[in-house]
Amino acid sequence: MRRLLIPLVQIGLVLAVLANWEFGGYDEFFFSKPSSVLGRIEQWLADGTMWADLGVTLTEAGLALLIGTAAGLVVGLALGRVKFLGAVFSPFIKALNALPRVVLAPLFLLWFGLGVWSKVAFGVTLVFFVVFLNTYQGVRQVRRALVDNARMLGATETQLVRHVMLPSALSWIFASLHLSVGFALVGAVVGEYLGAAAGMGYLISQAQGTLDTTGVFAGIAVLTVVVLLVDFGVGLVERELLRWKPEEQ
Amino acid sequence: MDGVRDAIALESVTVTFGGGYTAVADITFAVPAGSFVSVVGPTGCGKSTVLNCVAGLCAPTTGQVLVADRPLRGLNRAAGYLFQQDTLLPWKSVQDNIALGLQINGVGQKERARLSTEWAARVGLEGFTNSYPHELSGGMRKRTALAQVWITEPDILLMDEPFGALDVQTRQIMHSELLRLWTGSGKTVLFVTHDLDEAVTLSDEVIVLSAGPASHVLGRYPVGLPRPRDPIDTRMSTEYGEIYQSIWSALRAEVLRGYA
Repeated sequence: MRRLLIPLVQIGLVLAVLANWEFGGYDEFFFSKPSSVLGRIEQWLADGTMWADLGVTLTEAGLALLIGTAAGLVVGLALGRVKFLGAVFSPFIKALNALPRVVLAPLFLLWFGLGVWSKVAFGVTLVFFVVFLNTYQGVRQVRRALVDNARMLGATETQLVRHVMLPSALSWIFASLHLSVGFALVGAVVGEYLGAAAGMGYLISQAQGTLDTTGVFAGIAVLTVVVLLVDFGVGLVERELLRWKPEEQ
Repeated sequence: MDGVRDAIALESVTVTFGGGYTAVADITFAVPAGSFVSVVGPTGCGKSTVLNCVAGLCAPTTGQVLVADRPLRGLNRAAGYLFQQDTLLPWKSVQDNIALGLQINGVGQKERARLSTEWAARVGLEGFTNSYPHELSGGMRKRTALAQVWITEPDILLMDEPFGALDVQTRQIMHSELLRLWTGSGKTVLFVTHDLDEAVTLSDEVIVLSAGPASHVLGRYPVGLPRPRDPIDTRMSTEYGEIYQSIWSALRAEVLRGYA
């Protein structure tokens, strides 16, 4: 009974909010209407303009995720494994992580231009730290006995990293993959919003520039659906790759 | 190990840790090749430290460890180590865990699969080769770890309270399995435990350490019980009781001192 009740109440809530928004008599200039937003999305789908922008945003996010993860993994392994490097660099990394990343966006626009790469750079600064911190923790918190056991079986330093450190860190990274994917998309969209010639963030900023509230809401709605879909995909990949993990709870 | 009388020899081994704590002091004993020797002592007496020195995971502050008559430098390549803790890699299946040592030593995929399947069967894990460690019971995980160490065929086996975390019944089964694997293998076993019962049942000789710090060898007790042994029958015999009593009278005072 409860299993059915919860989704019913959830759907009811969404419908109530949408109905209130549609028929509540709010100023359409500021708040638009669900029907207009839906109409706009249909129009974008029909003339195909949205796909190009969505493609740009997803490319930027994908590249940021790839580069940020690779960099975070390598630096995390190095600093976690080589005590000297860890001691020297971890205060710097903490300081960089404390920096609000949005302030870097103008610099990246100057350095990398209005194209894809300034957004990728911005996304990388967000993804890198999530992956780095998880790898660093993952490597340092590997149980001593696992390392000793592998060494007694004859493992070299490279084999230790491959068989023990990396898988241990990977389990932490996958646990934070939802966060990384979200950050990569945030990086892309915020970067586009601040200055771009294409992408979902650009679409939203264009709509804002022409006081087109409906367009802003439509952009937000599309992004939300995309993030949910990507998150679902990440969940599937995670379940496959972390099959060895005991169920929590 | 042909022509070598002692597989392992400790000569005046003293280990002092960074903080100035001396775990073991002036430990001297030898383990004849092919024998099963246990080290018992009260909790915290530095039994594991002794084992780690023989493994090469920890270097003696003074004194030295000889392996096959040669001073040990770095890790002991002739030894396999069965740890007290759970050391299976949680992201590898039972089969891949068993084969880990082979994989590390560059044994090919086919040979690895053949040997690890064979070993899974030898330790009674036929139906579980594709399971992950978290899906196994404590006893099954220990059997996997035992196969992982044994498959690489080390001359020396070091065991640090390997069955300490198991329930009494499972532990007895593991004793039988260990003796079955060891009998006729020619391997030298150095077995650390605080369980005197276990030590007498399994060993040719029991070495008693005093309570820490600076724990030293209190006595060495040969166990002349006939082999091959059945752990349950062995415990019923009168000789067993006599040996147990004589060791216990030495150990008892130390255990009490350890608690004081």
